[in-house]
Amino acid sequence: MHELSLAEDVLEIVESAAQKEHLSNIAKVTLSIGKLSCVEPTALSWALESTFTNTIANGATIEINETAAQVQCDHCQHKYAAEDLFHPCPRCNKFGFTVLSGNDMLVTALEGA
Amino acid sequence: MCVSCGCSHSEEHHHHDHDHTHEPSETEETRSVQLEKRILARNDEIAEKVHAQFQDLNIKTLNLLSSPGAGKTTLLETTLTHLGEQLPFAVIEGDQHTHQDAERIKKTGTPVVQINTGKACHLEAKMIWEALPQLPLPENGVLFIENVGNLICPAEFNLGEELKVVLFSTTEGEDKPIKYPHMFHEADLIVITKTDLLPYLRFDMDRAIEYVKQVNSKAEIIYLNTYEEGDTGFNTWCDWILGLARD
Repeated sequence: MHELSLAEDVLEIVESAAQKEHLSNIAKVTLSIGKLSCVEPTALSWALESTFTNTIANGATIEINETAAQVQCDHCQHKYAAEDLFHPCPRCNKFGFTVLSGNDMLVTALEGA
Repeated sequence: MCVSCGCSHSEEHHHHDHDHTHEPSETEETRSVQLEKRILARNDEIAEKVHAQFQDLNIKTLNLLSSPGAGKTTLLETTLTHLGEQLPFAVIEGDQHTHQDAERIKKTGTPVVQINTGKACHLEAKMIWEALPQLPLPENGVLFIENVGNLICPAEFNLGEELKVVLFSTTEGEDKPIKYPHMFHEADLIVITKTDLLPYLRFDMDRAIEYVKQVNSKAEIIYLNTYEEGDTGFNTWCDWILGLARD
């Protein structure tokens, strides 16, 4: 359940941004989670709801957007969108790629007053 | 979209049975702030600090990962006994509870510190940073970090290590690489352990390798039969460690 650790990091980012932006009540937190990251959005959402309790983001709406993953085939260098970590290259049909994007997790926006 | 219920969180939609609300946020003072903050940035910043310290002292650090019982501590015990006079070593042990593993490592004469993660299922860079002052650091040698036995959570957290070594024992079944693809995808070296048990198991080695290659075509693979001196796999592992330290 590493989602709880990640939720604590999200709260820290939210609190720090809120202080900088002079927001005292956060109504919405938007996250972007790469398709190839090792996170289950539903578990992260529940972890965030629990972590946000009695904080500046208490009851905030949590929006998690999944972002596509771009990879490059290790064999023929073809670039393609991978659905998971064992998605063979559509050009040469071989397994094995380098992830170019889509394994990251970001806090992308806040809404608050 | 709300990931808890799939709704588009309009004001009218309040009927789910979970306890979060979709409060309207369109008050006069409500503002939107765009950010681009990586959730793992804090962990990665500390991992970079840890890594820089290791580089300054020419220490190669290996993050050992596997499911519980794959043989991480046994591999460390035998490696430290066998190579202890050739290189400086130190070990950081990670477990939810107990000092059992640290006690085993101590018997080899190697400096060791035990981290108990409590409820956490993985080690994080901050825990390593805090453990470092408790160890004589093995300058020009190798530091092993034995992570919590778990094939899921530790994959996401860099600890400032040079390389990730994933152990995979034959008793676990050949499909672990595709059941836990993130962990195997991250591996720089995969060590298949307990191959001496193959005659008693239905483990299909060819298929296991096929699965490894599906999620990681680059990692080296070492096969460990027994952990004894003279075993081809164990010698390959020891040579790999010595080669890494001299690199």
